[in-house]
Amino acid sequence: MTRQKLTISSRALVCQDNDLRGDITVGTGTVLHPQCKVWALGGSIIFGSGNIVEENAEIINRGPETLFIGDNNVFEVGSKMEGAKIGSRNTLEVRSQVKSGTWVGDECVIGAVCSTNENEILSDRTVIYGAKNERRIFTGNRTV
Amino acid sequence: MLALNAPPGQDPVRQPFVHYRCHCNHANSHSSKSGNASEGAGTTPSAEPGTGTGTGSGQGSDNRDAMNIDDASKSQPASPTQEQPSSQTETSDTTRPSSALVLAGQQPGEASSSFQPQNETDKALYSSGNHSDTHGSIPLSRLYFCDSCDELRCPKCVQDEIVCYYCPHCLFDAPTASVKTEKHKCSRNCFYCPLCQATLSVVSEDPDATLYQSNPTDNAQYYLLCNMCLWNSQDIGVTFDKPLSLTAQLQKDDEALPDVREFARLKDHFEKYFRSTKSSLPSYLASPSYSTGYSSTSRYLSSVTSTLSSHRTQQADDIAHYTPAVQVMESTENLEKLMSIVSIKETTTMKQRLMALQSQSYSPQRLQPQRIHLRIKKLRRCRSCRHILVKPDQKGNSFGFKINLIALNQLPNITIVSIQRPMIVQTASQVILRFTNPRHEEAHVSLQYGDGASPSHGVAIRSPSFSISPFNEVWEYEVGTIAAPPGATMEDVYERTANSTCIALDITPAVAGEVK
Repeated sequence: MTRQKLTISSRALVCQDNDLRGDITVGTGTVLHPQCKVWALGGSIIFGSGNIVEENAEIINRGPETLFIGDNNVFEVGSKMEGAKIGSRNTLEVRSQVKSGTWVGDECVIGAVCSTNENEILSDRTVIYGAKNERRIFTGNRTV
Repeated sequence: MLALNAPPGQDPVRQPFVHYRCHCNHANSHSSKSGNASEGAGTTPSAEPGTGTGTGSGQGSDNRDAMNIDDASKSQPASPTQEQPSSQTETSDTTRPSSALVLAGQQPGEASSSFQPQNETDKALYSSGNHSDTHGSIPLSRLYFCDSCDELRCPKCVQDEIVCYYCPHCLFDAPTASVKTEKHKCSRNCFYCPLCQATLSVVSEDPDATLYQSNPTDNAQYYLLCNMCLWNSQDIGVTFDKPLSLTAQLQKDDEALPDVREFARLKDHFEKYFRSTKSSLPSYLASPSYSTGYSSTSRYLSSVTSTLSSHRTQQADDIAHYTPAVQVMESTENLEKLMSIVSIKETTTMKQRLMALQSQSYSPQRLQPQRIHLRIKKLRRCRSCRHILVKPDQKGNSFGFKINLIALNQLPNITIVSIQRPMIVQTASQVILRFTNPRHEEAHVSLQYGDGASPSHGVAIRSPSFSISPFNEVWEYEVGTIAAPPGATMEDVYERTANSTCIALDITPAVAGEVK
């Protein structure tokens, strides 16, 4: 039974039926919806501020280093984050996957049911879309 | 299903189910060359009405002919069982549906005697998607039932007509008169994204503008945004002042293109010569829309050549020399750009190019959003009596049907409840079929053997004629089986529940192999 260390900042919300393991730090304004999973197995997980982790989302850190999650990210329902690094203002849409070892930059969008490759580095503003995981860098605004 | 003697684990076990055959010519034309592939496939349906009446006999004679052809070509005693539902409705007891349903129950042949050219079986195999039957049998869910002919209709013996045109994005019913001028495309704000072919949504730069003012200002620019790949039209410089009737605004830009203007000038130049000679020709020149279909272009070409030949003889020197206003230069710039491409992303894919057939540009920066194609709703008619079988609703956004004569609502549905496995050669094994009656009247079913074969060929029907109780919505919510309603005649049926009856068949395989 791993000793669990949980640090929750002000205005954050962590629910009772969250599946939490390991060292987790939750920043201000971050919301972990019910039924989500945050497993800090190898290393700890540190959330920034204003993140939203929706139901059935999984954030798993197996690697020895800490997983730093930036600010204002949205992990939508059923998404899986197993990468090594993620920046700010990203959106992992429904059932998307970030595979292990991947670094995600800022303002990326991983589309619904899309996934990255393993050990990849996504530059800022990358959109992954379509059935074949095509990607492009987008310009302009997103209406979020 | 495999009878014993075959090596186990050879084929994945597939749930068997019942297919039906239609009388129409498409199936019958292949039936006369039956043979190899289906191990002596059973005959095409040959249902005579049992206590035949005058109305049924016309159909019956056709079927008997088909049956005779089959007998001549085959030499094996295949004996599929056939059923002929003769649903006795309250209104009429003279006409009987002579649709025949073929149940799988035929025996595999020894070495089959007749070989046939492979391509004909392939045609019949793929026509219905059912690979196990050369005659192209179809499950009941895809069949229709014509009320006036009292016949089953398969999807090949119906004809389609167009009911209405609608846009799949905004669900707007396009008026049929304007469909041709709009080139079958939506004339409102619906566009395809040039990169990923998703539908574009119209967004404004300042989404809070309407909150603070009653009218959106002119400075609030509207542009198109793709929600899937986040392409926006500001990249190609397409913005709008108003969020309405965007296709009209884009069409004005389209007409300013040099090649469209060139075509208009050419047309004006030649129009005065052709108008003087033939009267039929200007109709093709005068319509601004681009040519539609083979027939119009072939007629146009033939009329052009005829007028040109007449010109050559009469007024060969009357056509003035035409100088184009735009000089088309041989540009090698495109070629150089294509040869210097490093990654595949710098050029367009085939799908992106073919969405915009007018321009087909090689560079992704020049792709334009295209208007969305309209879709149609079709109605289906019976080919022989021209009555409508299926008619959808006229409104684009409703998916109901005004008339829906599908076979599932008229004929009993036959399903296989259980098969006694494994089937051992020379031993009787039981197959239980369930007949479900969808109608509100009682149905009487009588079973027949195919080709008039006798039970000695391996299939024994224990209850050759039985009835099925009518369908009652109240019973749907009752749990458990319901006993037969009082007053029903007790026939030797296996089981009788609310609106279905199960019967048992004893099948004795003669030879090992696959049973169909």
